[in-house]
Amino acid sequence: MADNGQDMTIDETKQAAGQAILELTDRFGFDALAAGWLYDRPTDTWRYLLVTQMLRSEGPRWIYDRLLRIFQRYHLPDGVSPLDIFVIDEATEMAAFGKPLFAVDQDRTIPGMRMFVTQPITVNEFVVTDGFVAFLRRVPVELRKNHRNPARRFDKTIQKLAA
Amino acid sequence: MTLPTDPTAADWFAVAREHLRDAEQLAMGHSWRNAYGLAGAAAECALKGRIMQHLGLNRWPTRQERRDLYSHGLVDLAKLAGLKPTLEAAVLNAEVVGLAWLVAKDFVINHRYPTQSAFPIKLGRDMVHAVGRDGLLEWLITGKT
Repeated sequence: MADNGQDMTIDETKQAAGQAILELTDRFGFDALAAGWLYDRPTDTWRYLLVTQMLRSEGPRWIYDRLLRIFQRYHLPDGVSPLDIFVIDEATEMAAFGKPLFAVDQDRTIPGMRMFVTQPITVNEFVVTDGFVAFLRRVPVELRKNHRNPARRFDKTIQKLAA
Repeated sequence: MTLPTDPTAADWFAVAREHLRDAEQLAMGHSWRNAYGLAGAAAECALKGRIMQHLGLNRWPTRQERRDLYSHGLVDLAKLAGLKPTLEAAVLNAEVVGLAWLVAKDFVINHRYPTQSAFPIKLGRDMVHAVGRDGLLEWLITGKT
């Protein structure tokens, strides 16, 4: 796929890996509001982003501690490290995903990822990277008020994992 | 302390420690946004010192010479410092410093600017703890916790 003359592709392995990570986190009740691969063109790196309201309510340490316990038991797909996974707040989401965030319809993101170019611009106080994002999920903002914070359920399933 | 025009690795480390001390002071006063920013800056400075050591630099390159070094991205800087494999091992072994790195690696320097929504307290708290109490800064500087 190309956009504005810039190459914008994601191979099937990475697509499948992204889907597997999302399914794994869903199985433990993480219930990400949005998830996707973000490609950063200047550094030629991929980041897997999970958007959750738990960042604000519980903090990143609480979240990563639990995610790590999952990843130790159920290995991440080949070629993906826990260091590639970034948990972000809804307030930071637009900065990471850029403006197209508002135009994405969740039902059309799977199967066949929806891909959007991001440009090196500043949105509010955040710098949006030059690259693109491949969405696996994105719950529209207007539907999010119906989504309960999954922290209690997520914590419970992780406790069971340890037992 | 300000950074000299031609900083050495030791200069970067000294500034890093000072930033952490200030971040911890701000955290005690519940100034979370600023504490977060300074804790992140501490990790950034430590990584820049490690880059100098790793690349055997006796002066900090100009922006024209090494554009990639002029970054606030901790992940990119860690890679340049040759620390990625060690950090990955620390994470996979669930070491305290590994978990601290998972928290710190998400540092976004632009969080320091005020926004309409309140700064997430736990984000600030966890960042300061990761860099300080959990030993990430000392690990980045000395390789030991």
